[in-house]
Amino acid sequence: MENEEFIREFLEESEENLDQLDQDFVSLEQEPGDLERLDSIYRAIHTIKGTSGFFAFSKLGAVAHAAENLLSRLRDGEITLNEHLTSALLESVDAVRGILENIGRDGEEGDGDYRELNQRLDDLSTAALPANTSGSTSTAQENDEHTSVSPKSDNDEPIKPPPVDHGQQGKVETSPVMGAVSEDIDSNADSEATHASETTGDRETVPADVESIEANGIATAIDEAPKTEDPTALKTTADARPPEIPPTGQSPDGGLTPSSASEGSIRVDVGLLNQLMDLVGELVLARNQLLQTESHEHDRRLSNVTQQVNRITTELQERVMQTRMQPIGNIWGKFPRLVRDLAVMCGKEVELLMDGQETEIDKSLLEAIKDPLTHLIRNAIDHGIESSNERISCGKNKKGQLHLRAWHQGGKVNIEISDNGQGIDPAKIREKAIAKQLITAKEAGEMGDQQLVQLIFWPGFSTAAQVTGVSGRGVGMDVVKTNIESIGGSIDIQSRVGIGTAIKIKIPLTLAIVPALIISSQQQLFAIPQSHLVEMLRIDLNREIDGIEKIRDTPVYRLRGELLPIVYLSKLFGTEPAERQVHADQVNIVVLQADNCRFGLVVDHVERTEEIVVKALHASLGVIPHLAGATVMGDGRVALILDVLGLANDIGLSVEELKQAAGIIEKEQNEKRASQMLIFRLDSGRELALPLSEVDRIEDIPIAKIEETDQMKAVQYRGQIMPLIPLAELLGETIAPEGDVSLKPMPSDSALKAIVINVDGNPTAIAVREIVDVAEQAGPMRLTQKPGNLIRGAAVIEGKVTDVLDIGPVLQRCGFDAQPPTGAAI
Amino acid sequence: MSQTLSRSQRQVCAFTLGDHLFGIDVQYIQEVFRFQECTPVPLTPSLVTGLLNLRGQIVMAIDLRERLGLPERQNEESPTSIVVRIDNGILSFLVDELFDIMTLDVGQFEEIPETLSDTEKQFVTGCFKLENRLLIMLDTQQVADISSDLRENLADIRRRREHRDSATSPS
Repeated sequence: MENEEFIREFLEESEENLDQLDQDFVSLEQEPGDLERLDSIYRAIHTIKGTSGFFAFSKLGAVAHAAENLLSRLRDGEITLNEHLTSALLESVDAVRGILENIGRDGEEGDGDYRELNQRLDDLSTAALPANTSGSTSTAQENDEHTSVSPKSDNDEPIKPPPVDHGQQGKVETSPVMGAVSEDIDSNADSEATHASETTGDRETVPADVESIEANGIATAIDEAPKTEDPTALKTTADARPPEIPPTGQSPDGGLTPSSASEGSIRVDVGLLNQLMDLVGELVLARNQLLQTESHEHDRRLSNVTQQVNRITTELQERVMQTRMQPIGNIWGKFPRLVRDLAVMCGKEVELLMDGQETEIDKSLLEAIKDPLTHLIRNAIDHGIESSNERISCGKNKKGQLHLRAWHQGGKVNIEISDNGQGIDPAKIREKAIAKQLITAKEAGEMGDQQLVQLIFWPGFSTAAQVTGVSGRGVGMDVVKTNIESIGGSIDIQSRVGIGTAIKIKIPLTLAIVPALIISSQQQLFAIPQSHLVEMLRIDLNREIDGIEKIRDTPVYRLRGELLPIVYLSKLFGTEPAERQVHADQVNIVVLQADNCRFGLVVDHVERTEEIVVKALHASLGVIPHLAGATVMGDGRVALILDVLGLANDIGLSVEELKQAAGIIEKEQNEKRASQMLIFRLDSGRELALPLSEVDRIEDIPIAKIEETDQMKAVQYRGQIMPLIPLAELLGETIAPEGDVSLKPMPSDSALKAIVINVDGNPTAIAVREIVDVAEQAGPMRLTQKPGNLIRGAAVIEGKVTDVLDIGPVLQRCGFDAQPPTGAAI
Repeated sequence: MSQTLSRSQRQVCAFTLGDHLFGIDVQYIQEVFRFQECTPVPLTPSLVTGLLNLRGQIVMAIDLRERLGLPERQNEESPTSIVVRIDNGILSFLVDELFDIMTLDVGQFEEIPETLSDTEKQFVTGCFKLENRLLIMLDTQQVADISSDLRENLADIRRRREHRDSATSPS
C-alpha cells in the first residue's frame, strides 16, 4: 500500500514537529507575547491536523482540532497563555504523540480516549469567547470555508473525488476561528500559496495522481499560517493579493518553486548510513593494503594511482563520517519540556540555559548519551535546585538556573551540566556512604571533600533521602557513569555547598574509526585506543635507580614521584612467566589512563600509530573484558583492540591501596633504618656507633684536601665548604692504644672516612678512621645520664656493647646550633 | 535455491573430522573456504582458534575437533573453514575436509548412536546411515554456543593467577 510510505513520512515529520512543539510551548510560557513562536506552534498543530484528515485518523484530528482552536484564540490575543493553558496544550501534544506512536506501531490510532481532554481544551477556548459564539458555529464556519476552497480544487483538477470524506477534509482546512479572522487566514492562505512550496516540495515524491493532488492541496493549506507577526497585517496582505491562486494550483511536482529545504536535504535511512560507514571502513583497510603493496613496487604509475586512491579515501571517510554527525541540539530539544514538567512537579522554578546546541557528534553516541543526560537533569532539578522559598532565604534569585553547555575540544565533545542549586554536601555523602557500608569511618576520615563527592558514582549509592517520583528510581549515578564510559567517555563532578554542582562529560566524536597505538606482545599485534594513552616510557632495568620494584606483589614504577602499577601484557594474556620480561635489559611501558587510575602496560614493542576501523567481536567474546573489538591491519591480519578499562578492572588496580601499601613499606624501612647502626672506628681504635638514619652518606676524603682556617678544618665539597668535625679530638682520644698495629698515624697521602650528615641542608662531615659495619641494634639502648655528653648511651651491637654517639651535642660543641633534621630524636 | 526440496528431504553439508563423517544443516552455511591465517584470541580456551578476516568482516573460528573432544589434527594440511550464520553472529567451524553437500531422506534419520562419547552426544541430534558410512548430524546451535566455555576458561585463568600470586607472595 503506497499510503504506508506517506504515513511513514508523516510520522517522521510529525515527530520532529512535536519535539519542536515542546520547546516552543515552554519558551512561549516564558514569553507569552512571542507571536512568531505562537505562529510556529499553530502551523505545526495545523499540519498534523491536516494530514490526519487526509489519512482519516479521526482521533488525531479531533485532538489537533481542539488544540488548534485554543491556539487560534491565543494567537488572536483573546486569551493569554498561563501555566494552566500550557499544561493543557502540552497534554494535547502528548496525546498526539501517543496516537502517532500507535499509528507507527500498527497503523491504528489505538484505543485511548481523548474526549475529556478535547472537552477541556474546548472549555478553555470557549471560556474566553463572547457569549454568542459557540463551538458549533465555528464548526459550521469551518465547513463553509471548506466548500469555498474544495470546489476550486475539483475544478482545477477534475479527475476523481477525494479519497477522504468531506467531514474529514473539513478538518484539513483552516482553523475554525471567528469569521473575520478566519477569512483573513483563508485569503492569506491563498496569497501565501507561492510561499507554501516548502511543504509542497516535500511532497514531490508523491505520484501525480489524484491523491497527490489532494496531498498538495492539503499541504498548501497546511502551510497557510501567516508569517507576519501583526494580526492586522494579515488583512492588508490579503487585500493586496486576492485569492487568485487556488491551493491546488500548485504543480504536482512542486518543481517550479523549489525551496531550499527540499532541494538541499533528503531523508536517508540510518541503516543505509551504517552500511556506507562499513563500506568506507573496508575501503580504508583496502587502501592501507594498497599503500603497503605500493611501497614494495617501484612503479611510478601505480604510485600515482595509489596516492590518488589514498587521498580520495581519506576524504570519503571524512565525508561519510560527517553524514552521521548530528547537532547535540537534537536531543536537547526535549529538555525544555522535561525541565518545565519536572520543575512544576517539584514545585520549583527553574530556568534552562543552553549553549552549543550546534555541537556535532556521531549519531550512535548521541543516542547513547540521551538517557544519562536526562538522568543528570532530573537529578539537578530534584536534588540540586532548591525551592523558591529556600532560595530566597539563602539570598539567591528565586529562579534556579540549569545550564547545559556543549563544545568541541581536543577531538572530544565536552558537555557540562551545571546548576546553581544547593550543591552536594560532602558531610551527607560521608554519612550515607558509611551507613551503606561503602566505606569505613576511617576511610571516610582520610577522604577530601572532592573525593567524597565522587562517591556518588559508586554502585549502590543514592543521596536522595527519600525516593521521589522524579529521581531515585534505582538508576543511580553509577549507571550514568557506566554508560558514559562504555562509549569511551569520562565523567567528572565538581560541587560546592550552597553554590551549585557542575558535571562535566567528555565523549569521543565517533567510535567507528579511532586513532590507535599499535603495540606487539609475543609476536601478536594489539591496538590501544589513543584516547586512553598518556605517555610511553622505555626504562633501563640495569640502572638500579630506574627499575621496577614490587609493593605487596604488585610491580610498580616510580614515575616522577607517582606510583605507577605495572601490568605485563604477556603475563596477563599468556603463560609466559613474568621473569623473562624482567630479565630483559629494557622494557617498554605504555602509560594508560583508566577511570581515575593510571597504570603502565609492559609490551614487547611499540609499533606505530594508525587510524583503525573498529569491528565488533562475536557476541560470546563479550565475556572477556580485556577486549574491546578487533580491527584489520594493512596486511589483512586481524588485530585485537584492548579495552583499557577492562584491563584495569580485571587486574584490580587500586592506586589508593598501592599508596597505602607503599606508605607502610616506607615507614617500615624508616623504622628499620632507625634501628640500624653505623659502626665506625676512631684513630684511637675506639669503636662507636651512629644511627644509620642520621647518616646522609660516607665519603673518602684525601688528607691532602683538608684545609684549615682559624675556626675549623674543612674540605671543598661539591662547590661548598664542608666543615670537618674532629670527633676524636672532641672525645679527647687522639692516640692509638699500644699494641694496635693496624692503627698507625695516617700518612698524608691517604684518605680518611667522612660520615656526611645533613645540617639544615648543609653537608657536614665527621672525620673517622674507618667504617666497620652497619648492624642491627639488639635490645634497647642504655642511656647515659649526664646531660651534654657526646655519648647518648650504650647498646648491644653485633654482640658487643658499643657507645652510641649523640650527634646533637657534638654539633653544639663545634658551634653548630642546628639539630640534624633526620631522625635525630629517637 | 537451485533445487527445491520436498518436505521429506534435508540438505546437509557433510565434512570429515578424522575418520568421522559429520553433517550440519545447510541452512546455516554461508560459505566454505580453505583455512587462512588466524589471529589467536588471548584468554580463550583452545577450541577458539582465533579470528579470521573474511573480506573485512571479523569471524571467530572454532576448531571442531577441540569442540567435539576429538584428538588434535595431526596432518600438516590446513583445515577447511565452514562459515555458519547463527542468531548471534557469524562463526567459522574448522573441519578437516568438506565431504559433500547431500540431499537426504528424512526417513533415514536415526537417533543418537550409542557408540559416541558423552562430549559428542552433547552436540549430536542423530545420524543418517549412508551406504557404507554413518553421517553424524550436529546440533549447530549447541556447537556454536561457546559462551559458557569461554566464561569457565576465564574463571579458571583467574583462579590460577590468584593461586600463583599467593604462591609467590612472601607472607
